[in-house]
Amino acid sequence: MSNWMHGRLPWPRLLVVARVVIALVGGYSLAAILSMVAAKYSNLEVRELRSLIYLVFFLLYPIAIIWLFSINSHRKALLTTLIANACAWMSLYALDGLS
Amino acid sequence: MKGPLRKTMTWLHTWSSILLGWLLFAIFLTGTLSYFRMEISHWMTPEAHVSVPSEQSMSIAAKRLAEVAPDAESWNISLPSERSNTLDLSWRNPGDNQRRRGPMEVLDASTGEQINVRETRGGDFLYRFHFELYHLPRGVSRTLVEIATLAMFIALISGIIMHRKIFSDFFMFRTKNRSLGWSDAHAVTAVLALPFHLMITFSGLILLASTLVFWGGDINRGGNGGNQGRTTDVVEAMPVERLPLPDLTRMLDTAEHELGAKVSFLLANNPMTRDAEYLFYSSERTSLLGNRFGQTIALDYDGNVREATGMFAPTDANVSAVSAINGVLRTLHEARFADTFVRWLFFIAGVSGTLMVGTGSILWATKRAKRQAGQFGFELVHTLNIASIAGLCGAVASYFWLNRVLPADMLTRQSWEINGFFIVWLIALLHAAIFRHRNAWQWQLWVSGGLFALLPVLDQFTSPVGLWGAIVDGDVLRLSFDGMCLVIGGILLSSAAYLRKKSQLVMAPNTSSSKTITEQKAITS
Repeated sequence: MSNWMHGRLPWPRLLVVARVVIALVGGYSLAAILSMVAAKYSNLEVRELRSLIYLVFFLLYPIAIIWLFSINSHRKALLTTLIANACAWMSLYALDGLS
Repeated sequence: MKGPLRKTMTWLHTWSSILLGWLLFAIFLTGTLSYFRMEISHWMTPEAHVSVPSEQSMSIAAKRLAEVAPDAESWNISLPSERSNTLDLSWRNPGDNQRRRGPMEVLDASTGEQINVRETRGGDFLYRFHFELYHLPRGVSRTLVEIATLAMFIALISGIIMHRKIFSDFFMFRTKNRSLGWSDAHAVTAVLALPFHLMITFSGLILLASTLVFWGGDINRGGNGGNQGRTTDVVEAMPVERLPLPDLTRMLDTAEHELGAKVSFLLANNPMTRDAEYLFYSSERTSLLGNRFGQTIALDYDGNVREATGMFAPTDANVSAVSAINGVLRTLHEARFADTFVRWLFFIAGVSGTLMVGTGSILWATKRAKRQAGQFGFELVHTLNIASIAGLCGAVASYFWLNRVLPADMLTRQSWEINGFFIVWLIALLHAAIFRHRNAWQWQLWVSGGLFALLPVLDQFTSPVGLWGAIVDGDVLRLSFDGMCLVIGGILLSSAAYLRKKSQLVMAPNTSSSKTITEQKAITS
């Protein structure tokens, strides 16, 4: 089983670029939404929320990038980031609805 | 699925680090030097080397301020401490712009003579360069640094994943039967200070977090009145009753007794009036949380202890976990709590981080040297490596040299020190581009290492106080700087020697084989 970077696909270079975009953009939005969820979920003082967002975001973003890179097939990576983002959005809206 | 993951992580590790590798090296090097920011500033103002801390500092300061600024709104007295050996005074006259620094003076801490220090940015230039580079719009440069930091963090994590056996490899330390190469140097410097690297990178990310996380502002809207809301109320300069100068030395004793620690800074609001508030700041911190200084104590005009008010009021003891984590990260990143010994430990960890970044970039090039020589990408990285590693070290050393070599009263000398830094760096880049296949590495390392190693010699001859005098006076700041230069110079020179040995090894087989051929010829003939 060949790795995705060394796969004999029609446009390997383009696929690498696509994967980088998936990881950077998908990871960014995922980490951003989850840190907003954490901020909404917490009962911290208003001025401390920003610090919480920073901490959660910068813990999650690198993890998300590495996770999205480590998935072997491109299609799976794309699906993973879409599903994860959708779930995160939904939980954000669910929390909004509660409050 | 062990194979592909490892391969992916190797790819990620390689590319996330090499793309901004040259910038990362610069950030790491200037950041490591910034642990000695005060030491550098002190070294770069040799006029102040004559000042020796003494017991009379406070009374000298009080006398001088009562003389030059009796009507001031506030006085700042920075006493000689572990990180400064002069007595620094500044004050604000009524009606001065709140945002600008008022007039200031540097005094000899034992004689009270005014010292005219040469114009220099000192360690602040390197410190600012560490996270704002130079001459770029602040937002752009900070974002660039933040992106490089993120790349570094990802490189660290992927590096750990790809070497799952990293610790056992390290403890095996396979030095037998083979010469240590760049790859070993990379791994050793990475593992030796791995907790430091993770801490420094993550806290760096948090420090500049606002550049990447610019959203979410609506969450704390309304609560942020504290900062913007502070009105710069212009108080009409009313005639106030002036009291005679209180005995600040006695008050200092009271404050030090109450705090149980040395005091390094005094802020006097409305000095010599009935509303006076004398705030004493201790230099020793008792906690990793909080702000720039340790504990504070306030005394009134008569020397009685009172509660500090307003922005100087003691902060709440029960902070939340989030602020606590943030405070600790910031304090750790800036090593604000460190004494000389811990500062040196942080410096050595920083040096190992710098070496890790440098050797990593070199490793990228040496691995590809045979296959990709001549290709644009390879040649670019190769050139940038030389200029950004050896060349930058040379530029920093030249910055220190220029400080002592340029005439002390030269006009615009401050900007020429910095211009010199960039000119040398540019020359290094050109040199690297032209001679990259003709020992540019070795040459630049020899020159940079020599410049660093000779800095203590320069110090001996261009400071009013010789090095022996510095040892006698216990001028730890200056000796730390000279020690730091010897460490950096030693590393650069030994790398140059290593390269020379390697190139001789490459040459040697040819010469020995030609020798044997001539010998054979001699035998046969």
